[in-house]
Amino acid sequence: MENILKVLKNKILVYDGAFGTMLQGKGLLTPGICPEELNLTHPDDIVDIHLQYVFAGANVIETNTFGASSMKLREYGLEKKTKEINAAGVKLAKKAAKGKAYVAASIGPLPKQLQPLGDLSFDEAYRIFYEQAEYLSEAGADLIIIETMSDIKEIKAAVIAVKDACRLPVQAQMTFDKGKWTVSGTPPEVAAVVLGACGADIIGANCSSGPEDLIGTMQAIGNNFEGYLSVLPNAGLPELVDGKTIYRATPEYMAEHAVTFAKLGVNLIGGCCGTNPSHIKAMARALRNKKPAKRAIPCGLTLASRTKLVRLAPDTLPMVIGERINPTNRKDLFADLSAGKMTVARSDAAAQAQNGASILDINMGAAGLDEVELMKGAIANIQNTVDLPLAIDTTDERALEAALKEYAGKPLINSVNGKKKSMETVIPLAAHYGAALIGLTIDEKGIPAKVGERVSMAKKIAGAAVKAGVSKDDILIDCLTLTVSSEPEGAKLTLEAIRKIKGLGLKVSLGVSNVSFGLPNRRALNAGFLSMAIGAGLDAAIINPNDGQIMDAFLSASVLVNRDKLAARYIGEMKKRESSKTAGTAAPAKSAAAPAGIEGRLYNAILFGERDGIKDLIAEAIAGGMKPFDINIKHLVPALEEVGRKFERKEYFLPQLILAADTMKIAFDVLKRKLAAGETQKSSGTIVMATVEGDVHDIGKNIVIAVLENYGFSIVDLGKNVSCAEIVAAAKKHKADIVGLSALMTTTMSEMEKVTGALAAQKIPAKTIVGGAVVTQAYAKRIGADGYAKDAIDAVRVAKELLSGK
Amino acid sequence: MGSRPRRDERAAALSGIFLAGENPAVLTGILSAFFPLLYDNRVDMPRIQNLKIEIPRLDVLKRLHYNIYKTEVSDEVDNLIDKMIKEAYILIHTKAVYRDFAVSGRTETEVRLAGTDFAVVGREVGALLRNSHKVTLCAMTVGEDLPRRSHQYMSEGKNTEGVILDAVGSEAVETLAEKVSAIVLRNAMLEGALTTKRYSPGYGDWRVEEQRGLLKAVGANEIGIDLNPACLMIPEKSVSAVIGWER
Repeated sequence: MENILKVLKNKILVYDGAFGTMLQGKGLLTPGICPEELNLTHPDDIVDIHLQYVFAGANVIETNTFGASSMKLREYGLEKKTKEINAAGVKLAKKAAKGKAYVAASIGPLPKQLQPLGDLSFDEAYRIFYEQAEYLSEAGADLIIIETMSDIKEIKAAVIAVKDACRLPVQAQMTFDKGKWTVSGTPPEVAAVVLGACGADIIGANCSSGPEDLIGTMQAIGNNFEGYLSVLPNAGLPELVDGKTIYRATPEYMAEHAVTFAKLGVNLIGGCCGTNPSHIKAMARALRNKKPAKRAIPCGLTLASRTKLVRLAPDTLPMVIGERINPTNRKDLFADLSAGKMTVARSDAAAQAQNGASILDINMGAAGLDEVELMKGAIANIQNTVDLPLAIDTTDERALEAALKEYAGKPLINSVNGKKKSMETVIPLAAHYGAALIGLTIDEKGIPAKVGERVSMAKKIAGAAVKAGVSKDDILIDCLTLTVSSEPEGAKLTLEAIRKIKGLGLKVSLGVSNVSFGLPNRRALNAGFLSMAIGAGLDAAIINPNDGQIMDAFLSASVLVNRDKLAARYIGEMKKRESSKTAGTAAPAKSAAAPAGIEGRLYNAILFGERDGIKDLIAEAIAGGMKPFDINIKHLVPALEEVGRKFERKEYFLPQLILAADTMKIAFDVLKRKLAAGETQKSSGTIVMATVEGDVHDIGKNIVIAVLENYGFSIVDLGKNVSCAEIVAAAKKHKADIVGLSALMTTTMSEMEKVTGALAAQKIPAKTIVGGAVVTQAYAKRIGADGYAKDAIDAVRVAKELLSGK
Repeated sequence: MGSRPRRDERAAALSGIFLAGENPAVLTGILSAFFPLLYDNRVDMPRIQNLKIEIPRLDVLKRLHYNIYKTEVSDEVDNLIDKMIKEAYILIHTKAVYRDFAVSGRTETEVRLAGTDFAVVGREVGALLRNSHKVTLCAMTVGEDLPRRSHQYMSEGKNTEGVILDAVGSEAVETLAEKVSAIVLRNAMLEGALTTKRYSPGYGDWRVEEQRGLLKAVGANEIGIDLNPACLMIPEKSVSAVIGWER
């Protein structure tokens, strides 16, 4: 048969439908059976199902090998038959196809998750996929279909392994919840870009849900992939009726949507769960003589993390590549990495993302550290912290390959250069693992002094990369910067080289900070040079996004060259700054609206929880002649009571109540030191507080303490997981007026009863208040507690009531 | 974790349906008695870690007693919540483990599982699983860094940060549990089945003490989840549950 990829140029091909439900219909799927083993035990039934689809009009039929990876077969003790089962799967399909239909050999997901989601390594997954692909191609399949995948890293490993194992066309399909994301968060446009870069010939979606949900999915894939598209939807969403799973979509409905997909430019259309030969028959009839619609070809450099796509086109905003994650000259980062930690790197990643980076550069090279291991750790940690694509910055070939395997997306390699060894090692890795590439114009002889030489080196690198299979769109050239203090013409040369290289249709990146070595106020020079470079056509700037001055230069230059359309990004950033400024000054604005003078400001400080300003405010009040005692009783306590009322009316929620209490605590600590002897406010009573034995949740108890303290109670906090004996002893020792007990669980609640019993038995006069998630008024009564409080404010009320009766 | 499960509408709709007629689980049970190895699904114990989660801000607010009609959130607290959510993303290390078990037998209050001594005991959970031929036991956590930081804030007198971060942690592990449920549903769909809602020891009449057996059956110590004598999970922000498969 003619190569399927050639046929697809002019023809829509119809895929078959579900296999599992057909096996079930034949009563072959008894519990615990391995569906793929049926290739050996029930070959005639398998051929029969294939034949039904061929008769229905399917141009492509799928082998019964979805779960025939050695790892999956091991679950049934069949791993020794891996080759046999896969070969039989292809043989049976070919027998039914008789040269009238293509045989697509099916590979499904592995039963284990890949790192970092699970324990399985990239290499192990690769090995298993490679093995299965080899068996399938040896048996004579026409193409390989990798399907129902939900982890982008797993399908990436599968595509790469299949490409390495055989020369068959590769169809790669993921399953998207409601058509939008895979369960691990990958949207269809990311799948398109990542799998396209890895060399998939056909990309699509299967399973997921009904065809209507997959319309947007296929558009998103089509807008980001030049090759062929495929879609195999379910027959609608599964429903459970009378304990049986059913799919409701009719053949007519599926056929109608098949035509919709054809209009979108989809080349291979079939069905998944719930479809049967009648669906396929209707679809084949509807698609007869239909040709795939032409699609617009996407352009520009693309990078992707597991969850996010970044596209760089000639007229889009240049990219900011955040340069902070590099232990050279970074003592804090170096120390953290040396200690085997990633905390600083993760914080750096989050900060750069917040400040507007579009890509994060990861450099783990430092003397004395294991770069390979660190790079793997950094990639795993940082791709879990931010959703920006990463640039792998290393000169160590092993660290580079480790990172490329680890990365669940399409990364940027920083970098290859004109040296023979670099080109021979880095470019094949970029092509193999589907990465974009920065090429530095430097070789064994150094940075060429003449513009023309840098341009020809750029040509040489780009030519070699394209030849190896990297798309020209995915190449950035960095023509390097010399220090102007030693090379006065250096910056001009670089700008000239940028213009020339842009003229070749290549994209240009640049690290700018080298330019200013040895000169004062380097930030000003860096910012000026960055603006000029953007003026010359720079597409990607390797800078520190946390530096406001350099980001200002980046944002304004991007507006001036009209790459920030309608200045949208610029205006957005400026608005963001404006609003963060007003947020900072919000509290004084409110104070101004409140009663004037120091009294109003004290009141408001508690009401609005101004923790940072309260100390100064009290100092100001005392300097102005107010008495500490009055400050507390006349201004702060009334404010706190208003906070309590607001909380009860639900105008405030918990954080506002706690913030007021925190502020009050700071105020009270200051005032205590200022109060004259004898002036000290009389304690409202002593309360011993504890979370009972076995229970480690003390957050609720701490909230209650924070509020009670503000109401003048003296608190003895025994902490969490406190035994009955300890509580009783403390109650005795501190002559407690009240014992407050907290428990969160039904299993620990019974401890409360022990305590109330022990207090009564030892005739300790303290009252008891109980509370916590599962505790109720009725329970409190049953165990003989004196009070029950539902929350912190309620605790104040109950405590006051109990003591007023004394 | 004192939270209740979110309602799974599909499962809720199903709860009214009672399966009469053949129950595949009965057959599974008989077969598994004779071929325990075939039914021992413990060959693989999938572990998932570093699953990325989005912290649902509104749910965090609600957990902190936010009322959408009445509460006026101040800018300062609003910013503080953003800050804590951002910090949480750095502190969270998600880990989950799950195992699938064939149902080997049942009474009205007990669902027995093939290949483990652990059985699901309770009238309500038994009713939830009445059509299930298979169940997934699972346990997950967002790790100990977040609760530790929350306690540290409180010991520094920053109760506000401590309380917010604690609520963020609760919502984070809840979101993680939803993600794991989605993965289990996907696994079920690959075998032509759908799943029930997620149900944890401590809900209804399923005793929280049963958690000990559940965690052991699923190998939760592999991901660092432990139980204290009162059956509280350590780290605090952890969830254990059963999910039923029905076909």
